[in-house]
Amino acid sequence: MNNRDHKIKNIARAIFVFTGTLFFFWLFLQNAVWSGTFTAEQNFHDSSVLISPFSPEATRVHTRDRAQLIVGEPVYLDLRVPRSFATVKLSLTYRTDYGGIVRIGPVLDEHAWQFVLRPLETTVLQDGWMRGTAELDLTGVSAKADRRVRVLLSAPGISEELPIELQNIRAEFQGKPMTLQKLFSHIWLEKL
Amino acid sequence: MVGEVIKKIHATPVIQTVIAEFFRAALVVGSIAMVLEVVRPGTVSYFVNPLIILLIVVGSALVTIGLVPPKANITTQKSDWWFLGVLALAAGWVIGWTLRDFGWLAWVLGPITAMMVAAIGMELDNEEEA
Repeated sequence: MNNRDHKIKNIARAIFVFTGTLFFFWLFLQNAVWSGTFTAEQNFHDSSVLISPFSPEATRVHTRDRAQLIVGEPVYLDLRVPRSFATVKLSLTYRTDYGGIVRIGPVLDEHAWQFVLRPLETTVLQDGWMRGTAELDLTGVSAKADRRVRVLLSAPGISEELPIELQNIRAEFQGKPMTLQKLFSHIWLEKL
Repeated sequence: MVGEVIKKIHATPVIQTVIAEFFRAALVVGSIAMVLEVVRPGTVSYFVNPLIILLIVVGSALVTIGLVPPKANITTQKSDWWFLGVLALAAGWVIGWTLRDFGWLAWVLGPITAMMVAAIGMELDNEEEA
């Protein structure tokens, strides 16, 4: 290997090391959520890791192209968060002829069947679509090892004949802005 | 056509060097990413599809094997063998552990990764000595 080759090798190595370092720095910023605000979206055609579709599939939920049809209750979804947050504002875009109240909330303890449900505040959009919004308190919610929070949706009376057609789910997490002192505890604690 | 490209690359040490360096960097980034994912699930996979990282590492490994020719008459030192052995075992374990939920696939891909890392490590080591 001559001098020129050595030089090229070092330049290539420097470029790749810099790119790798940038990748991990970007990953660190994504996980730390420095501003304290984090947004995720599920629209049922670009698969989102951060918000799962509602389940259980087949018995209470039918997944279609770009939509989910909720035909039974209760149904669940999982929110995956990179660190702890105080609240999450969930917005669901849906249409239905169902006249009852749709409630949604985080599961506090799955084994003890504990959850806190809040009614969706609805806004009417175009073509029969509605946006239901609820702000959920995540204090005291036990997340799983991969920081997964289970959310339950309840709408007593929905059925195959009276389903909820869901088009979009948006989650806006709000927490304290990150500081260097809080970094470790916020990232590692499993209690949200 | 492909043969000509391979011949051209075989005759161009600069491209071989860049390919080898890219593979080395991809292997390090991929290994660190997988360790992070094992230690703290979601650190990587919530933002990047781990399959893409794995494809980049395996793809660059295959390109390195295909395009960086082996150098003859070069002996590797004993200490390098130890290092490569540990590196190969670590890489195999990381892949096996990451894919443990897939059952037999983990038992197949773990050892394959270890062998691949050892083979490519020896290749890169030989190239460096040359």
